[in-house]
Amino acid sequence: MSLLIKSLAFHSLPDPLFEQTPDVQTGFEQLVPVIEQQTRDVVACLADDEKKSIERHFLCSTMIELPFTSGALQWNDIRKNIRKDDIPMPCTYVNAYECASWGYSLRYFLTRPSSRYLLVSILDANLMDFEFWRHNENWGHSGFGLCTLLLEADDSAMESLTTGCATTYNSTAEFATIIRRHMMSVEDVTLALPFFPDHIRQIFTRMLNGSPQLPDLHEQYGHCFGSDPWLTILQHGLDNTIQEQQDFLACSIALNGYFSMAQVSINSDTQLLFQKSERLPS
Amino acid sequence: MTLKLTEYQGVLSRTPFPNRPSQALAQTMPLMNESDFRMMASLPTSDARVFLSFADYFEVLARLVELTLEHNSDIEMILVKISMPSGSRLPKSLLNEKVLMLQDIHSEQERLQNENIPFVVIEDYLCRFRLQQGDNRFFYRCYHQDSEANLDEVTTYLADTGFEGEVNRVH
Repeated sequence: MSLLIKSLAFHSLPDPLFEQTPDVQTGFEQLVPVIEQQTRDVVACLADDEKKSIERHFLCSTMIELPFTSGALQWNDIRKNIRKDDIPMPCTYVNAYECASWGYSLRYFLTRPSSRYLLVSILDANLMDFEFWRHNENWGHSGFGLCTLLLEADDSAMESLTTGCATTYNSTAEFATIIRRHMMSVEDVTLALPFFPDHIRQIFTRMLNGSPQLPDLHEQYGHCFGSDPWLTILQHGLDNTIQEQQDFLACSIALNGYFSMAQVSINSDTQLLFQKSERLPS
Repeated sequence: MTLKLTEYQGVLSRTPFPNRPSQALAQTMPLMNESDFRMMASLPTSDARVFLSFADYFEVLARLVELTLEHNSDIEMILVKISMPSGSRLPKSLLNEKVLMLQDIHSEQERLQNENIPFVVIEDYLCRFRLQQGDNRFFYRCYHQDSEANLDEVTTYLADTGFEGEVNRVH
């Protein structure tokens, strides 16, 4: 089974996002060049015919829902406006599964994969500068950014993926148990967990102390929603020389208990990109 | 074999579960400062009547998914247009592996049509709260190789839960 990360990028976005918060539509338009540039950067490692073969680019989010629900933004209009001939811009917007949306998008794709490569982006930006999204008792300080994954999937890639929902309302502890059970059946896999402040992280620390884990980067970046596991894999790859294939279990859990786990690999050819920007112009 | 479309078009005209109390579960994001109030006030609001709660809404969607899978077992995928927030955990059937909930169905509907597999689209504009855009229209589309997909249970359920509409077959 294999889900190989060919390319992984994170663009850390500032808080506040803008010098002066514009209307939602203008604000989203300011993010489109960020999405386009990251898509270009991520697929740059592919040959032109491979780029053209990519049929799916899912854009996932936890935070950006009210602009669409209220009708201030229409995804179908955005999708048509951001289309490019030379790169696969996002076509499908998934936020129903909150922080676990990337895994459910993968599940949908892998049911009938239409190409060897696929793109998943995770965008969480405080478009409307709401205080609620800045800091929250459920996850502490938030971190904002755009993450894009270029994944290469083989025929058995679905076996690398687990999606589900907690059955109790003690979701984090239940998720930790599910992760622990999974880790007992695999070898040489390192955990990439969501970022939480210390008092929540302790659940993972205590229940998963027998498994190797990448660092929780909450203090450095805050809780970056569905991007967390990918950001810690990226940071690990940038901080270390990757000579041989390394396997990780990327894990995300949503506030309502939906969860996703994907066993993914990086190797010496994996392209890793990190970028940080100052406030966007209004 | 080419897919044939059978579509139900309707509108919700009353509360789906009359005389049954249900928790509203309506939660507005906490607004904490001047900017929060200003931004929230800048969003469009809907004039549509609100006939259902968050829980009612997801109950209707979940039942439609169940009826679809029970009576058209060869359906390979169900696309459900979902507007967040959910207010609470979604019913289990909406998390079924044959279901994808997404913000806008157009792109995936087009792709699945090209893949020529039997699938269903549930697209609604039902209003659960004033900040949600919608006019209470409802669409259920079944793309199927058979000339007449089985929509009887679905349309009966929709009629029982306050939808007024009709089925059109587009061959």
